[in-house]
Amino acid sequence: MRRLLPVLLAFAAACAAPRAVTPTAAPAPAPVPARPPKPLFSETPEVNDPNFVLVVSEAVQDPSDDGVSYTKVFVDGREVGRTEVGKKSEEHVLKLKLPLGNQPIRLEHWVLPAVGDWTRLDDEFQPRERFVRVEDGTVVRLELHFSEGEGSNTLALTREPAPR
Amino acid sequence: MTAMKLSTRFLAPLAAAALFAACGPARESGSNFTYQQASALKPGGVGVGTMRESKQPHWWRLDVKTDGVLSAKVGGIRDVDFVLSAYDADRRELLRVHEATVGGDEQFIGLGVSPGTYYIVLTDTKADSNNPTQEYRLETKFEPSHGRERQPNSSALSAQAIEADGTVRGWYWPTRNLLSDDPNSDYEHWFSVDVQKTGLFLLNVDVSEVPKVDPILEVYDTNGYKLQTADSGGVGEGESLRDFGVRGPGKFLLRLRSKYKGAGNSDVPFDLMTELLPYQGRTAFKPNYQRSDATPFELDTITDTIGPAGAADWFKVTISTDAKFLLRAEVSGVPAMELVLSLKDAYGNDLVAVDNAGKEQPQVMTGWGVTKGDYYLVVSEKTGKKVDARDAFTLTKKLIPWQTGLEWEPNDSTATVQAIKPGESVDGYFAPKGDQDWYEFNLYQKAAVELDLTGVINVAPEMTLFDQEYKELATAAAAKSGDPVQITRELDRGTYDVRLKPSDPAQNNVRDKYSFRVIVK
Repeated sequence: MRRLLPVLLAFAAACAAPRAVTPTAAPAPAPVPARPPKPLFSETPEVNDPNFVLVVSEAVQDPSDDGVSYTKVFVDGREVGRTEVGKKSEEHVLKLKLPLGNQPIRLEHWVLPAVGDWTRLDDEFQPRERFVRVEDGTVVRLELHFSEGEGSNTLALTREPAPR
Repeated sequence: MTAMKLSTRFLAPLAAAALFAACGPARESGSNFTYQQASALKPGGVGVGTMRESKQPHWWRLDVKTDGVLSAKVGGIRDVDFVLSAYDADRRELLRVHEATVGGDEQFIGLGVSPGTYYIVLTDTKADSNNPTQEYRLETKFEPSHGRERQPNSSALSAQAIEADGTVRGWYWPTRNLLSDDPNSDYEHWFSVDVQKTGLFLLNVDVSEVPKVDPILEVYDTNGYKLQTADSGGVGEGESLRDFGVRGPGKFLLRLRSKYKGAGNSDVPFDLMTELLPYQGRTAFKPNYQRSDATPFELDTITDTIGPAGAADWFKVTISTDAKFLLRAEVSGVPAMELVLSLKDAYGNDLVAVDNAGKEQPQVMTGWGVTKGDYYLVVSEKTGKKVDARDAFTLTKKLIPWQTGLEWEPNDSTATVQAIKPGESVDGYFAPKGDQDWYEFNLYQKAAVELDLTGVINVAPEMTLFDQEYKELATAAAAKSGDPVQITRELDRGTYDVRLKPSDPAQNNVRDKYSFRVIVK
């Protein structure tokens, strides 16, 4: 044991001593997750014979203001669909098959600001709720147009025969 | 001693004669037909000579000791048509005057000179002159140059530098610039103003009246672009340029000229008065005749004048908060004019034009819905022909936070209809002329609905009820101005629109609001 002591001490010293490090490539930093370009929800499935078409557009004068947006559609207080996420300056179209009858339709517009998360426009800037009569054999087209940076909007309703 | 007395007796008269001769007019020294032979003349002195050799130019030399302005006048003599010129030491011709015909006087006024030699040259344009004995008299005047125009300054390149706060006196003389490529071109008076201080300033320029002359005053930048023209006065009247916006440091040019060819006045001077004031936002920052030059309208009121003819005055209103406001604006009346007030969006597109009142009446924009961004209030004279640099208008603005119960313009179509809930009321204006207001409400169950509209002085309103497909359901009109209107109707569940408007589109009221209510019974 006494003979072994120096050997054990030598091992212990070797363990305690700083180790020579073999230079290796530094590990790559973990990628910063990109800002989700789309809100976390599933897209509204396309319908074959829609009776309601929503078209949302916005007059964007300055390309630097051309962020992204989408619009939710509520019928009688229940969400029935939402447009795809896209540039404000592009037309967002949503086709739905709504139950027949006079339906109160409310639209809710959301925008992604330059900094921060998706933001619902304040109530005073949201389009007004209105009834839309959904009838067999016709397609209701509701056009929502924003201007002045969502400061004002217009809502126009037209009706056309359903394609046979 | 005797010799001394004798010499004094004889020499004194001779000395006096010599002194007297020195004080009198200078005479041509022999042949003064070249600059080397020029006869000497003191600045401010008088020269006398004859046109014995009328085909030759007669040179007079003046040695100037200090800065100043030199004027010269030659009295006309029989059968001679004088041309009067001034040259510098290098024989560069500075001025040439030929305003009169045979036998007439010629003069220039206010040639700017510095220490050095100058020449005045007389020539005769008449080919067959024959007046070798009659003496002409060339009178010169030398004055300090402070506060004086220094000719030649008849081009932008030769513009005379002047202070931004001061007065310059000059003459509309000569009338023509004979040294120009086009000898028929008018003599123009150019001045350059160098603002060395940093900041925003307002420059006022006044040109005094001169008989027989209708002046035009123009402002140019250093690139030669005309920025503004003042031409509101007529013959014998002055011009006034008020509140011309200057961003310092900067330099710009003033061009003063007679409107009509050949018009001038060698007897009565003009005074060009300039005044530079720090810009404080109370008056328009000129020029503000286009969107990019709009005056920031930050205070509650701002003043401006109408002119030049056809120009509109732009004022920029910036909303910096994310909220809805009603912008109310009023422009005061101006004597003998009818003004129009317009509102434009950030890109200059028309939003509304207010043309309610007549001549000399104020124009009122009762309230327009605005949100974050830039807007422009634009004031113009209706005919586009009138100007008035003296009587200012006052533009007043008020930003009222919007709240439920207030009308939100624009609401003049089904696309821009304003939502209202049953049980609520909304206050609005029948203004400007031709206004119509649309309101929309939803009924979530069948009900009897009463629509109430209060009366407004000067307006006999009409109320029309539409269903959600914009089919007319009912209409009612006031019997006379100021009367209320009411519609009561049993309605199904759905959306309904109501249109309110004066029966006669010319009717309007910018002072009194109507109140509209939707009552579910």
